[in-house]
Formats: sequence, C-alpha cells, structure tokens
Amino acid sequence: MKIYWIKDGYETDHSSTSYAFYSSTKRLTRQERKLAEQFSSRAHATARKVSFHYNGEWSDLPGGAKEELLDKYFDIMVSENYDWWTMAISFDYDEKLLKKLNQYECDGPDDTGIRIRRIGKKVVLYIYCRLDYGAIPSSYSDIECLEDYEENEEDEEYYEDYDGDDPFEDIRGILIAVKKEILGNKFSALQAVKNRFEKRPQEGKQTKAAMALAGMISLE
Amino acid sequence: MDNLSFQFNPGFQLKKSPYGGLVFDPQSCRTFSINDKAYSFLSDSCTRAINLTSIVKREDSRIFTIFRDYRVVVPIISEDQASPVEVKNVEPFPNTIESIHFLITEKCNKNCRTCYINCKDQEDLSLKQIKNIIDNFCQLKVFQVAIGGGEPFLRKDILRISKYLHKKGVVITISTNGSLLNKEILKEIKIMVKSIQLSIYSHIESEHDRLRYPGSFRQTLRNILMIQQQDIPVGINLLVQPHSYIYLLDTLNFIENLGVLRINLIKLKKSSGGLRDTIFCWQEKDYEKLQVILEKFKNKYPEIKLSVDCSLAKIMRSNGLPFLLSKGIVGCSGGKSFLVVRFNGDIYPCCFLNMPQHRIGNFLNANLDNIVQKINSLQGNYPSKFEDCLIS
Repeated sequence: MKIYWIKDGYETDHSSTSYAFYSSTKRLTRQERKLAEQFSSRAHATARKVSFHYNGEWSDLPGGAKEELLDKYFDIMVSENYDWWTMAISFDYDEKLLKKLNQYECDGPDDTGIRIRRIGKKVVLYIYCRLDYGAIPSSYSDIECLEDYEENEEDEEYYEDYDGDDPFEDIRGILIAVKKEILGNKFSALQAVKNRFEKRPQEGKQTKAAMALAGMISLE
Repeated sequence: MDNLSFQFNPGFQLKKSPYGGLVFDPQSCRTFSINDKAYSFLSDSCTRAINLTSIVKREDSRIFTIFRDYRVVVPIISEDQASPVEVKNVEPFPNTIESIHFLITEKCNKNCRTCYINCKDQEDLSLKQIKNIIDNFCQLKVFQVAIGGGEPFLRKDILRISKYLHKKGVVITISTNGSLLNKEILKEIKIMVKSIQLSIYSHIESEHDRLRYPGSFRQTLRNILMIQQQDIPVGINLLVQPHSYIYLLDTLNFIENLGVLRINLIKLKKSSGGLRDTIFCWQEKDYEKLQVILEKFKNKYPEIKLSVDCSLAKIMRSNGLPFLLSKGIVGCSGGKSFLVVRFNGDIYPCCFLNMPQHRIGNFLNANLDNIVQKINSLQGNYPSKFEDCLIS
C-alpha cells in the first residue's frame, strides 16, 4: 500500500514542492552539511541527504541552489511539484560522457523529456516526467545500494524516518542503479526512457533499472 | 493492539480515482491520495472488520499505522460489531475532483473595481435545478463545495442550497462580500458551513474602499466579528500588488489581529470594474520582495495558514521546473482537483478558463460518463491545454 500525499485543510489552490538531494558516492562532512543547509532554515542535512519541502506557495529554493547542491554536495535529486517530477543525476564532467549523454536528449508529451546540462564541474542528466505511481518499484530503496555503505550513527539517523513507502526513496534507489550503469558505459536505461517518451517499442535486452525507470514514467 | 479489529471510519469519505483513490476527513478537511492497493484495502474495510494480524507485509502495516493515527480506520471491539459504512465498492465515475467552486449566481449588489466576474442579469437556476446539480456532485463524490458568485446571499434560497449540500455530507465554504449577512442568517448557517471567506485589501480604510466600494472596510470588520461570534471560522482574501508592498506586512499583521487563521493572497486579474484594463507589471524583484515579506510573516505567525492563488504561485516558483515555467503554467490545478460550475450549470476547469473551448459540459443535461471522461482526459494534457489561460 502507498500514500502519495496527505493534504491539510481547505484550499482553493493547493500544492507543495518537495526536493530530496542524495549523495550516493560519499558522506558529507559536517562542514558540507552546514553549507547544504544554508538554503533553508528548516533544512536538516545528514551525511547522505537533505530535503526541502515548501507548503507555502510563495517560496521555493533560491535561484542557483539546486545547481550548487548537485555540483558540490549531492549527485541525485528527486523533486515533485503538482505531480510533475524532476529526477537528476550528476556526474563528474567528462567530455566523452557529455557527448554520449547528449544523444539521449529527447522530448516527451507536454514538456516532459530528457535534458543534459553542464553545471560547474558536473554534467547533469535531467528527466522531467509524470509518474505512474503504481509502477514505482520499492525494491530499490534498500540502503545497501549506496556505495561504501557501512552502518553508522549518521546513516541510522537518516533512515529512521524512512517508512518504506516513500516514492522519493524508491526513485533514489533506481537513479543510483542507473548512474552505476552509465558509469559502466551502459546506457540502456536512457534508451528505454527515450523510447518511452518517443512512444517507440522497447527493443533488446533491458537491465532491471532500465525497466524500472522507463516503466514508471506515465505518458497520460 | 494486535487483537483489535478495525474498520474504515464511518465519518470519513472514500472515492476511487484513476490513480488509486482519495480519502477525505470532513472534520479537518484533510485529504489523502492513495494507490490502488490502499484503496482496495480501505474499501474492503468499509464492509468488514480488518484485523492487524491479517496484514502480512511490513510496508503495509506501516501504512496501516498512518491510517490508524489519522483515524482513517478506527478500532471496533469485535468483528461482529463492524458497522459497514456507505461506500460503494463499484464506483462508476473514478475521478480526482475534490472540490467545486459553485457560482450559484453571477449577479451582485456591489460593483467592486477588482472583481473578475462580469455581473450578469441572466436568470439564475431554480432551486430544483441547483439540487439536480448537487446530486451530480454527489455522484462524482465531490468532498467540498465553495459557494460563490456574484454575491451568493442574493439568492433567497442560499440556506436551502446549503442545507441540501450539508445533508449530502459535502463540506461547504462560502465567499461573500458580506453586505447581506446578519446574525439570523449566520445562526442558521453555522452548523452547515466550514468557513466564510471575506476580503480585505488593505488595513488602510481608504485604500481598501478604493479597491472595493465605499463603506466596505468597516462593514467587513463588523462582519468578521459577527461571524466569529457564531464560532464560524473566517478566511480572508487579500489582494496584493507591487505598489502595496510598502504596507503589506502591516496589513497581514492587522488581519492576524482580527483572529483570522487563513489568508489567501490573490493577484489582481482582469476585472469588470474600473480596473478592468489596468495592467500591473510584475517584475522579478516584486516577487522577491513579496517572498521576503511572506517569509517574515510566516516566521512570526506559523499557525496562520497562508496560501496564494495560482497566478502568484506559478511565477514565484521561478526556480522551479524549467520546462513548465517556460510555459508559465506551474500553479494551475484547475480541472485536476477542482472545477468551477457557473450560474447556468456550465462546467469549467477554472474561473479564468471560461472560454468556449474550455467548457467541459453542463451539469443540467449531464451525461456524467462524458463529463468524467473529459475531466480525466484534461489531466493528461497539462500544460498545453491551458496555455491560453487569461491569467498566465
């Protein structure tokens, strides 16, 4: 069972914006965590994650914050706004990788699609989409998918809030798996997503991550 | 705890949506969006007792705990005592509409310079027709109706309309200019409405009256007191413009001092009054200033529920989703979670999407199958469907 969202009270126009940034490759130092928290007085960064949630409709992360967080501290971003989702994976800048990733830029319906951007010393892959919530696999949310994982107090602190039914966490796991594949020179996940956006049949053998990522994208 | 049985809270509402389902708590007006599996579970628990031991998966038991904490499910002593609530397991019209803005008349006794409704002299629907429309709302399992206009209290039968909605279990709010309110009406309506929405555009009397109508400021203050004396919550619509920033924080503080717990900020839109053709140019710095003021106010009064209308939300998220913002559409949930029904029964996604191409249908000669099909098809077409929004 899943609860997608809980909304309080009567509002004629209602929404919230949520961001979760994850680091799959390193633990943030205390100094880095402080810097990651600077964008919101309510943010609490752990060694692996910082999240921002805006219930008020007048505010959002300040300009450039997302880019800075992806450039300096985190490599995965999952964001939701009015049921529109943005997923981002950042890689260390590499000319060859940039060229390869650029081949997968595409447009889906209603401004969804894949975009590649260079930000600072990073190349960032963005996927803009709507989701078929029922198709998000939860099997990727295990903490073990993090590199250099070894249980310590900070990770426990981070995961004690996770109740196993958070699509952000499920998506994080998928994106980490996709990143690992791309760094291993496997691009089947991006090809599968591109096929999905362009409404072309999926061909060839797909990895589990490719099926998960493309399968949860809704074109409706 | 494990030996306890639970059932779906009979005071709550459950409906099927194309994505799963929606649960609504009429007391707190809290809404839950759930997936298919959770919907099936809750739907099942409407007709029979559920025991915790029957929930095998760990994840499911966590969700169950949330349902229990929010009283979506409530304990019963034994399975024999499960009292099934009225929830149809087969729902013919799965949809995501939670609330409807029902303009029961578009006539008005005032001529506010900032109103976006063209006061019409057309004949309103009869009470019988209104009731038919409300029956359709109920078929769609709409949770809340915001009665508005025009001036809704111009309709002599507003109490009967409210009673009918209330009887059907719909949560009601009313937006009014307040000019026709009196103690007797409020006494009768208090058990039926969740809140009454009034407007304050400035804490400076002359400025408020300039934007509304002479005498409006004092009348509104009297009304707030009168409504509060009947224990009815008051919500305030506050107009914001770049030139009003100088005193906006003072106005917000003023409203807070009146004991109001909900403030909705609205941007001036094309209106039928004297400001109809006035264009206020909002620049990026204006939104930045507004953000600073609102943050300051929110920090001081965290208990006040602040919201902004879609015309502000979409622009203030200027660092949001770049593709969507390039279309200028972030902020619109018209047709998705709410609809507007006009004085003649016509259905639109929003007050500002009221051109013929936006018309979804009419509830008077409704084929609900077609209407729901249209509503659900709109949702897959954001944002391109609404690029011609009047306020974008």
